[in-house]
Amino acid sequence: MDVYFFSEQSHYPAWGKFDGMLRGDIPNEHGDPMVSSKLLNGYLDMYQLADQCGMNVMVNEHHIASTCMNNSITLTLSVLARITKNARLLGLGSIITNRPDPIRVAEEYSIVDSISGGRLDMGLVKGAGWELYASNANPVGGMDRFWEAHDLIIAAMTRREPFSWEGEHFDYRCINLWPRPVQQDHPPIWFTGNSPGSAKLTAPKGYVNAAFLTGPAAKGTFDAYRETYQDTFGKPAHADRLAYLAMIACSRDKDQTERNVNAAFAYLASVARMRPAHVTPPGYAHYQAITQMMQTPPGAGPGGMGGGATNADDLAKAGILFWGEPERVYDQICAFNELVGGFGHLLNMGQNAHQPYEDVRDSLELFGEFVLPELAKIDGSPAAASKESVTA
Amino acid sequence: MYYPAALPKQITVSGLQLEYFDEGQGPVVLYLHSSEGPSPDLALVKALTKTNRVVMPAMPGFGTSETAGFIKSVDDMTYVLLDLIEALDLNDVTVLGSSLGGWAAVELATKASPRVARLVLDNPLGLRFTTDPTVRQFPDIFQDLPSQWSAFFSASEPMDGRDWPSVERDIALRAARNREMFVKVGWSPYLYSRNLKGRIHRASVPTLVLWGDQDKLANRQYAQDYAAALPDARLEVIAGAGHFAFLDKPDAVASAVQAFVGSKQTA
Repeated sequence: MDVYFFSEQSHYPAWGKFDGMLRGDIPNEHGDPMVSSKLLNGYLDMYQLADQCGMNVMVNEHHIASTCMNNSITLTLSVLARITKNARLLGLGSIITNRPDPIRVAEEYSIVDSISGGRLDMGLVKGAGWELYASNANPVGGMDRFWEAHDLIIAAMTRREPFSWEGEHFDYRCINLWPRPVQQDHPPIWFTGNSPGSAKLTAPKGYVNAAFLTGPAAKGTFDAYRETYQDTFGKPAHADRLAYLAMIACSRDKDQTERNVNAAFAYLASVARMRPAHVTPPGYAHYQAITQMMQTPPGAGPGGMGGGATNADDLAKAGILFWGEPERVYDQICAFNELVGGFGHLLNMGQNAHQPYEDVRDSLELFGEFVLPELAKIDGSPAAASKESVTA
Repeated sequence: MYYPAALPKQITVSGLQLEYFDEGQGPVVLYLHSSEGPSPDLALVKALTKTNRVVMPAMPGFGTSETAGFIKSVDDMTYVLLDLIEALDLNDVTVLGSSLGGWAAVELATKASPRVARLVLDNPLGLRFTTDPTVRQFPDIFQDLPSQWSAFFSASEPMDGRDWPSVERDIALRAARNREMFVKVGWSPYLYSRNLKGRIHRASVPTLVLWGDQDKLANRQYAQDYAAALPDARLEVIAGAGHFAFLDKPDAVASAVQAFVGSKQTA
């Protein structure tokens, strides 16, 4: 198992200045530019430290949000390509459902792969429902655009002669990618997939499927991936096809643990501060799925992230936060890994909300020294997959 | 707010199977529904069938009517509606449209079919008159849940009283599909066409624009500008009606249509 450090790079000092939604609605007047500057540089420091501690790094991208200032995967990855030495650079991901110009995505990812000498992991995602309000891309037909953009990006990276593209959603007169990515044919592709339905779309491509903070539900997602992969390729999926994202905080003492757990709860509280309409606008999901939601009586649906956890133990059991001294963190990760049938990449959401540099630094150093070497020993072979899914 | 409902007939036009309603006798009224979809149970439809032949299709993508990749806008839908008019051999047609359907009615009329004789636009969407790009023509209902849209649509039922968990699956599926198609054609530009303004002069048939004075989506100035943009239109205000005047004041809308068409009460 390998590990990618990740921060959402929030502008958390603004959260207390506004009572409403932290995405879409919060006026940027609450975001002091000098505070943003300091925060963003601090996050880059953390990424640099994660590299020094033996970890890979991951960045995400959002818009209209105080919860994630990073509005360009590739801009930040370009910086990281220069200031990190060994880390793989995961962008998870570029929201190609909403980008009017997929070739620009291919070009920028190619630059990152080129500058980093071939360390890019190329995440392509559908994007959250509220991203549609930022991009104004039509919620209807998003997955059709996603797949055409995907095909276009692969074509741009793999074809060796200039070519044109006249598709259903995109037109190009001359596509001729310079520079080519260092990793041939193209950098490894990652998708996010938080449901069995999503995993069934990712597995036939053989791409990495990453589940974010879904807790034990990741088992169903991963099982669906493993089954579909087996059906497609006639062999079990290696654990390195699966990734799971959780908050992780190693600490030196009880006080630090308490601060880290509070930061995790602050993050979870921030997740809820979003307009209900922004979650699933009509067209974002298939109308049959939306009908299912409409006909689910209030309170009968799935609970919020973390399943209503109210204490640190619940968070660990829910696979949301692995916390405490390194040994405890290791045990929690192993228990969760076993529960969901095994995954090869742990995405370490290692800075959350107001969690300061000093606590993140301690966490990364402890994790790098004591947990990372042990996780590296975890057998990522296909045997880690649960029997019933492989034999299905 | 009303529930969408099945329509009794089927026809294939433009390669798409549409469901439609066709009842009553008298001058033909082609009724183009709102974003909430068609229903034979609407009081307006019941009132009009007493004096007119009412043809009410579920527009492409609404109800169970098929849609296709080539239908990306309200304008695209109207070519299918023109095919429907021809397939049913409708003549001297009064096209009545509510809200989204009113927008469709105008787009249709710009194609200048000799079969279309007049328009009645019940609180039509589809145009933008506001010049400041930072000011919306309509409040952004897509930032609210569909269950909150009633507050913008209806003066008489600002709270959406529909109980989706209790209704038949088929009804809920129709509602979800209607919302999806509404978003598809209304998302961007938001509830208007950039092209319609440049060709609206072709919608030259006599037109009655109706506007509910309690409309929370489009204001009086919008309704006045709309009537003024059409070559041969006058504006009639429906007192006490919201954006869905057909829902709030169905009898007033029916009377206005009947007077405009010159229908005689046969019942």
